[in-house]
Amino acid sequence: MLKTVDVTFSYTKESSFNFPDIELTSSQSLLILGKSGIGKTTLLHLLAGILSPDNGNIFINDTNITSIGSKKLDAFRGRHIGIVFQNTIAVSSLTVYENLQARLYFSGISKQKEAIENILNQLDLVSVKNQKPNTLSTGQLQRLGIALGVIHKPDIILADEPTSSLDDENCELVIDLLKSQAKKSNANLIIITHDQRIKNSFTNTIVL
Amino acid sequence: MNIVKLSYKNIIAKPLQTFLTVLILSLSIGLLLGVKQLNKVFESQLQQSLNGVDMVVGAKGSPLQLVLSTVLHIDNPTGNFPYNEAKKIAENKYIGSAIPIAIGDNYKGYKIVGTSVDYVDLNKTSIEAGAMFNKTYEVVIGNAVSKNLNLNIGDTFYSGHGMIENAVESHDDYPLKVVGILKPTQNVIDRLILTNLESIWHLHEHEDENGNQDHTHDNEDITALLIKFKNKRGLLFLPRNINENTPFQAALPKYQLDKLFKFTAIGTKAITWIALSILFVSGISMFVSLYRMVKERAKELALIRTYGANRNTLILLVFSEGLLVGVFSFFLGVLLATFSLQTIISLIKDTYKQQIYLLEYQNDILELLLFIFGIIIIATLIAIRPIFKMDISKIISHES
Repeated sequence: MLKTVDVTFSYTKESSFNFPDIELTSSQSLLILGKSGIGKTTLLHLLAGILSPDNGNIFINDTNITSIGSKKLDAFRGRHIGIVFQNTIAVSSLTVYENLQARLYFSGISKQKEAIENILNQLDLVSVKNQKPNTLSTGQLQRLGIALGVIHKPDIILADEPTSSLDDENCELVIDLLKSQAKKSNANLIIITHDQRIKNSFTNTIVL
Repeated sequence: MNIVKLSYKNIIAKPLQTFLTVLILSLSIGLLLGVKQLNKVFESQLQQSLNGVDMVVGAKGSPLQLVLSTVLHIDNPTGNFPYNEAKKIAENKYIGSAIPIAIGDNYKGYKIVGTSVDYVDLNKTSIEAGAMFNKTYEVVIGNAVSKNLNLNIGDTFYSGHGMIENAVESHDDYPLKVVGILKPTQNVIDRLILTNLESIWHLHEHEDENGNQDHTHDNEDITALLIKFKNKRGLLFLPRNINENTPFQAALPKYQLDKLFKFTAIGTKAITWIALSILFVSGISMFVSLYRMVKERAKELALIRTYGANRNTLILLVFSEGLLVGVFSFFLGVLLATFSLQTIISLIKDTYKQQIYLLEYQNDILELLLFIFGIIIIATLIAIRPIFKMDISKIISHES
């Protein structure tokens, strides 16, 4: 469950973002559409607790993440939020399998083997589990990014421009993957993008 | 997966940089430990070998050579002088004890020393097996001589003339008989063959009769008189008196060795400073390695923050990387030092027939370990500064 109330944020005194309120019940999805520079990524970082709003409140499962301390927020983010980046970031010195292990370790999840094997199977990454990220194809890397964002079964999956560099076929594939993973985790899926191709895949849309 | 494993993976992902850091760090640690230990071992070994000898009287020449040859037995003697003259000096009221020694022969490189039984007491040892020499041509051998040459009570051998092994001339008609073996001392006496003065004189008298002119010795000559003073006044008067009023020289072993240490200290100090400089460079190398890790892997560290790690966890990750490299280098350095010291000791044993024993150096190791730990902490503290300024949002935005 996610709820934002009167959230504003400014990088400088001159420009400030006023974001619309969001309210999602359990397992609802939301598409946030908007042009570049409109504050989409800023909103995603606010929802992830990476940025703190100037005003307003953000509730995730009844926890107001704007009012908890830094260490608690880090731990909360690790356990309850998953982020999928446009360009996958992974630890370059670790293999695919070890990256997933690290993801779970820092989230404080000790039962790792089953979760990793499940996600590797679901995202067709078994054959590359012992490879380093720099040896993966673009598609495999994209799937690793999704795996890293969802393996810990978060309450909210935040995806930042997950399809903008993909062709139509892969675009659809990635959206389906994200939706199915969100459904499995019973999580809210929030996609922030300027990619109009996925507009019809979502019923719940906010245009910034 | 845990912090240490992640650090380990990060380290082995940059093998060249890690190799260079480990190489210079372990080299400097090995050098520092090795030089310190060698210095301590030599000083302790030489001081121990003095056995409280206050003064050595011998033929004119280099005083250091006289001390090295007659007290430490690692050089050629300066010459011989009549025993009758030595006895006159020994009668001086300031002298507590005076032990004569006559050297000039060897057996397989081990020096044969003509002396009195007091020399054994001076070296704080006693008979382990057999008895003390009593008659001419009877010898008592040091423990290392017995072990290394496999000589036992009742064995006989022929001495060679001169101080070096494989001497061309040997006293083949007059076998020396082993009558006793001394207890080990870890001191110079372990590698000596002792007999009475008469044995040495007789060996050379016989040669004179044979007409060998190359190594004629005057009858009843000795090489040196090892003297202990009765009191400190002896030190004030005797050396100057002997040096000015007799054809002999008096050398003070402690003074001569201090002079020697001062010379060698220049070398060891230079090596120590070089090792410290390398250690300083390796500290910088470690800092650069950690700093580069923090800067170049900023997006990965930011990613780990989004996984739930807090700032302290990232600091721990950097520190753990430094610690792994430091600890591995340290143990490699200790191994390097131990191996080098054993090689040097083995060389000394082969060259000088002297077994040298390493002193316990756990304290030096602990001291150096703390020092290295300090370097890692300093390198980490400087390297983690970017973590405090890390703007996760900015780093991730640039990657997304």
